Amino acid sequence: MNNLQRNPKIRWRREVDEVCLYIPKNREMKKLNNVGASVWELCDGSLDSKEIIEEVSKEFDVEANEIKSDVEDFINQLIQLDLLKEA
Amino acid sequence: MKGDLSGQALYAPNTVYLEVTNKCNLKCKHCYSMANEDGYELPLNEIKALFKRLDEIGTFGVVLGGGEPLMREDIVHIINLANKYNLLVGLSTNGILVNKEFLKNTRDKISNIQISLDGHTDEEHERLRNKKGIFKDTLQAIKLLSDNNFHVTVSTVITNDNVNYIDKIIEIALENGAKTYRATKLIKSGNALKNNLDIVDFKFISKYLEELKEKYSKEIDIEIDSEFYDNKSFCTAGKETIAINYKGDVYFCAFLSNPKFICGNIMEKDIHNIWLNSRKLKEIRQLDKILNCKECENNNNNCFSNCKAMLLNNCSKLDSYDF
Repeated sequence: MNNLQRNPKIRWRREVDEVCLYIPKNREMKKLNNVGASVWELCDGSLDSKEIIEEVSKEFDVEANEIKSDVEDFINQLIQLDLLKEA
Repeated sequence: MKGDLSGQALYAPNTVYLEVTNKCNLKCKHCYSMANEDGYELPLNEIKALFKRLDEIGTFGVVLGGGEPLMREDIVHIINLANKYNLLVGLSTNGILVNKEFLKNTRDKISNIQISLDGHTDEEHERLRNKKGIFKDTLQAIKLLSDNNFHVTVSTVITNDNVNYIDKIIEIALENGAKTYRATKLIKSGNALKNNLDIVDFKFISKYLEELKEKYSKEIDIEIDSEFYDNKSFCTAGKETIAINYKGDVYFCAFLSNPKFICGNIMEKDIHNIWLNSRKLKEIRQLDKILNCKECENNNNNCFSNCKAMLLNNCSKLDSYDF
């Protein structure tokens, strides 16, 4: 998989332990929890999904294998909502 | 992906409801404010400064209302300013002043236009809206905007007069191309309080609206105000949204007009400072902890205890509380 990049047109804001963003496709605002927020911020175009999973695994002190499927599902959701794209 | 604000403020409000004017071309019987033809307008330079600041702190959007926002001659300029400062624009209007020139000047600049439709016939709509001949103007606006790819939300304030005809109003919204239908609660303040309009049993309404939502799910999005549900946590006022009136006064909710709930004024104080530090805002965010509505003897079907604005306007238990 290629590196993942946030859609630059998306309005978002870091809160203490979450990210708030507006999803134009669904016309709604969403809050990402701390893990979601971390994934979102890592999608700056410099990392692919495998590298993002490794970073999240280090940050939250869990095995990469344990979170792999959840993080991949989450990334796919973000791609489907046009919030992320492959750089 | 669950989030829990626990009464804490976000760093910035996601949405700001801005009453750009108190002028209105109608005198609706159920209006929560007391708008009139001779009202006041928030100065343009203050609006510009506000939008700039909201962009800086990361607010996503503004909803422009009033009064009737199209009564302002510079409304298109205000919409352009909001776009310039990267704010999504919602507009709440009665539709009467919508014309082709407005369409041309605001195309692709408004993410949602909410138009009020309170009856399924001219007689019903105009009785509440208190003016003859406007039903056709309203329908024309819905159609004109929808035909030109604006996202139109048709909104109804639920009263005893229209509660039995909501399905017919939805049909009219559909026929004229609206993408969303919204059922809104009646707030007993302003004209609604003066005219002593009755609030419809919200438990009955929430069930009925859910049935309609299911029935029309493939044709139109139906939004139901959170206040129709028996759950305070739905309310985002003061936690994710904030309201500013035509005088620049900041309230946690647009449905409040009592000066004792003013949290600050944008012409005197920075909006971000008010959002983060207003003592009143902090207390109102914690209102759930002050009151125990579940055990209150007044918590009947029409209490709307899940609506903080209604509580603050009407709950006698808060009379002695010093906000």
